[in-house]
Amino acid sequence: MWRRPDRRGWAVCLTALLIVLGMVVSGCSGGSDKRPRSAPSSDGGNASETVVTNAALGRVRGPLGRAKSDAVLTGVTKVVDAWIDAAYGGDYPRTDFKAGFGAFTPQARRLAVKQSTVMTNAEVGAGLTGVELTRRKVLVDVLSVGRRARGATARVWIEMRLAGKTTRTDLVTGRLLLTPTKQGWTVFGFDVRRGKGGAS
Amino acid sequence: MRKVARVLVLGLVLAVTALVVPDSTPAPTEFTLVKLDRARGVDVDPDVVWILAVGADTRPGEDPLHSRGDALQMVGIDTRTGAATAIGIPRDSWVPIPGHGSNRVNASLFFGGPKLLGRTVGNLLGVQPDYVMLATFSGLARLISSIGGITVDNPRAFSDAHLNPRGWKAGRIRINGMRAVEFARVRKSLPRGDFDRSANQQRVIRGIQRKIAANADRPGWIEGGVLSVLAHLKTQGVSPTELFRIAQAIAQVDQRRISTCVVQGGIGNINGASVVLPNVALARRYGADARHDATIKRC
Repeated sequence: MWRRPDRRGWAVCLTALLIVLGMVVSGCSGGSDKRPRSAPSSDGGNASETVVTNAALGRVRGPLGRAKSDAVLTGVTKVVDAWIDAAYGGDYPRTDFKAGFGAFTPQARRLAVKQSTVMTNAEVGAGLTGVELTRRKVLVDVLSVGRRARGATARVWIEMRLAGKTTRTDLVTGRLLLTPTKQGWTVFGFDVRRGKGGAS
Repeated sequence: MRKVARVLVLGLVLAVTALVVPDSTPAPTEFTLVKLDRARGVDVDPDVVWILAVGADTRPGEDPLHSRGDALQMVGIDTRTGAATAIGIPRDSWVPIPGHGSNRVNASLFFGGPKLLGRTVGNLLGVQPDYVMLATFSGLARLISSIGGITVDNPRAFSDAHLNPRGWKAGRIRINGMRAVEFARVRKSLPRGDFDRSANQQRVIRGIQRKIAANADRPGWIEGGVLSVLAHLKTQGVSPTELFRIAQAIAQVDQRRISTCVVQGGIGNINGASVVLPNVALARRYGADARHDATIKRC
């Protein structure tokens, strides 16, 4: 049975909500101190440090053998890695981030460049001394028809620590949408969110 | 006694100060409020994709590609902005059919299949479809079931003595399977007949889109949906890869940027049959408004 709370009840509820919200948000921010930290590279202090991508197959819809599934995973991860490395990794300070969209279709590239605040570190790149990619995870869902891969969704999870004028921990999550072409897997769309965390 | 009181007050002030005034070392971050920015976009050629969505009431053994389309909706999606529009064409609209004189618009499917239907509707609106997607009512019902039903905003309660005597309530309602298809089929009990039915079809399309968008980030959901479409809808000449791109474009449609209009017209009688005489100028205006950005500012 549910009763409408009185004013004190509302205050308690609100406090509880804020606490839960805070726990959830801070849990999602990637700001956990339990993970080992490493400072940006000391060779000139301007190169990014990186971690190996944790890549795995997600859901494969439609019949596709193990070998072909693994080939999709390899091909898609290669494209996603190229984007992550060029869009968020690399040397700093810098202002040119277009190299990250080499495997994007021309229209997808234009759309991504327009939204480079999320899709790259362009907004803050000039003032950074380094970026440490602390986590990169890719799960690849595959559409298979007639035992051939026809499309794929790469679900990505990227955590990074920015150092320099801007010092914070960011989390980039979302999806890259890909189709196979003669040149390999190509990104034709994306739906990506970026959480700009507090100072780390 | 006064001394004791002073000590107590001083102690209280110190305690409050210790709690309120921060110390010199930064406290660990216990709460973080993160602002989320979003980037999205899909490259589907052309930038504004036009899909003529057709619902056909075919009976077992009938070829849906040469039946009479009962529900006709021209859907445009601007893949750059996420805007979308649906232009409803009343089934009984009396229009010129290339090579076949004039007839009800849905007869063009019977005469020349999806391509002729596409041309006929395209000529009426002044915008030609890039795709014609044909669904039998049973196929559409299975498709809606496969995505777990939909939610529609129903502006009025209505019923149908044959299809659903208990009727549909006004407001936001959940409908599923054949009941969702019937929601889009009822005409006689609606005050403006064919025009209101067409608007209900648009509500079903909105409901399907809303469901797709809400589930797009579930693992493998879009991929499974494409397989379901391939199983239940007629998608002649459309590759699975194209369908995958279209599905992703539909998923990225922005609910706030959807506009829907129904081509209006008068009721006429031709050769003893009741037909809709569409307002061609209005139909063309809808097409012209939406051609470049899939947006109609006013119906």
